[in-house]
Amino acid sequence: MLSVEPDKVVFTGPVAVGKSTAIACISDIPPISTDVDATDETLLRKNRTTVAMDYGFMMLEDGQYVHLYGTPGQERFNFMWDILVEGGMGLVVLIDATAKNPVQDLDLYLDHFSEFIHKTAAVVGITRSDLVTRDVFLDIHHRLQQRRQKLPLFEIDARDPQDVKVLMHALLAEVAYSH
Amino acid sequence: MIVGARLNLHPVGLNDEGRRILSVAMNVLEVSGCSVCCCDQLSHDTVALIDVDSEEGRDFYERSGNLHIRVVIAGDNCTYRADGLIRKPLRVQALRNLLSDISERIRPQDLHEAKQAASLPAEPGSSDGNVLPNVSLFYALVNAVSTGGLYKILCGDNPDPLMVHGPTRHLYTNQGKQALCNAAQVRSEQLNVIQLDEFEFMRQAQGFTSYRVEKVLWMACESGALGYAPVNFDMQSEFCLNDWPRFDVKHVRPEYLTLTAMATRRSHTFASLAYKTGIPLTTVFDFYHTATVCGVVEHVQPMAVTVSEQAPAIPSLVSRIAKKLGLKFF
Repeated sequence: MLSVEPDKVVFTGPVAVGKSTAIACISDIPPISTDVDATDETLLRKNRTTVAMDYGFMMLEDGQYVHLYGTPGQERFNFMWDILVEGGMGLVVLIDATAKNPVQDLDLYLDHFSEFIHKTAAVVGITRSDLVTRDVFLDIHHRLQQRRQKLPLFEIDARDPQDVKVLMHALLAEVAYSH
Repeated sequence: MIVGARLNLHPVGLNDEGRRILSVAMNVLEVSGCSVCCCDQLSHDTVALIDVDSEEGRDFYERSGNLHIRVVIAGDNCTYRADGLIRKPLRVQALRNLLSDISERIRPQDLHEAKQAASLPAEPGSSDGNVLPNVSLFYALVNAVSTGGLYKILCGDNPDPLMVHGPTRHLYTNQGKQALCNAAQVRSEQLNVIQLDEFEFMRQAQGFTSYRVEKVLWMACESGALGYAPVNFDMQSEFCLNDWPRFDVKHVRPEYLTLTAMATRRSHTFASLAYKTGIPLTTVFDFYHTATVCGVVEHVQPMAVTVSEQAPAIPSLVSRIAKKLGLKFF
């Protein structure tokens, strides 16, 4: 059986959390999106939404590609989630601090990807935390402790490449020392 | 260990791993107050550190005679005569102990130059008001939280104080984030730290904006963490992290991400963390202080069985991705 080195990083999280934006920060190309006009409750947050995936890549010095995938945010497209993490080296979970229930969002993604996270590595980034007065970091952190998951957790601005790089750095450190 | 002793080393024939171990051992000796340097020139008080399993080392040993202090690093069947012998595999602790012994033998007269580095600021309690040694905002915060005290910190000419409430890990101030960044860069001699009682603290901090100490700590550690060893510093003590600290992405040192990834998995000594990551021991100390303030450090009993000090191999792809992103990966 052919063994292929995992060369894929997957960004996941709810609608409009900043997955496409985060990928754009580190991708060598403008991300290729499968966006369509939103027709459902997504309209409340943005006009267009990803239905299959976002895709970008980084080309390394030796010509190898590292693929960057963003999952569709809506739960009804979750059949794509499992397809996208196949061959992945790690997962970036983004949580929107302004969402109705960020902790519930966290649970949704950590539960769905639990097997993948167990085998690889994951980091959690909280976006838009500057737009809420509540300390969502503490809520998320508390939930991670309840779940007994020691995951790197950061408050980030998905538009800032430096913030996304810190997330990637933590993810790479987790991958490197998880053996 | 003679604090203030000076040791000149001349390593011969050491491979890359040997040099890394030597580098860590030198750091350990440095923070313990011994000045160590590597030199190319040999003099009567130079310690030649010779790996006789290498051709270069054997050649040097045969040529050098008894003119210098010689420490031989060798495998099991060593027949070489020397002032010190270290069996392979080379270990930081073994090297540190032997060099420490030698430093005591050769330069006891240098005691008066003692370097008072290996300690944090002392417990507060002096009566002149300026209760914490002025080391930097970083250490002032570390100490305020670890002692659970209430402090007013004045930075340079800035009349607006930083009010640190140790028990709740909050900092109250009128200053904005930029001013806090500036305060983090104020040097030691311009810091004035005053201990207050609860009533006086509340009176002076009234109306101030509150920040979590961790937030300011990351800014402070950028410029003000000077690599001091912890109080009651013990190279054998092991610690691990029970969680990731609350990092500030704008100020976190990249080394800390690597150290956290390692320390959340199992316990380490300071030296083994430094050796396995190639991160300077002084940075490991800073990391330890910060993690302690964030409340994630757990001390554990050293393991009876010696764990291999082999540095973990970083997957090639991880290193290449880090390079691509311009990350300094350890």
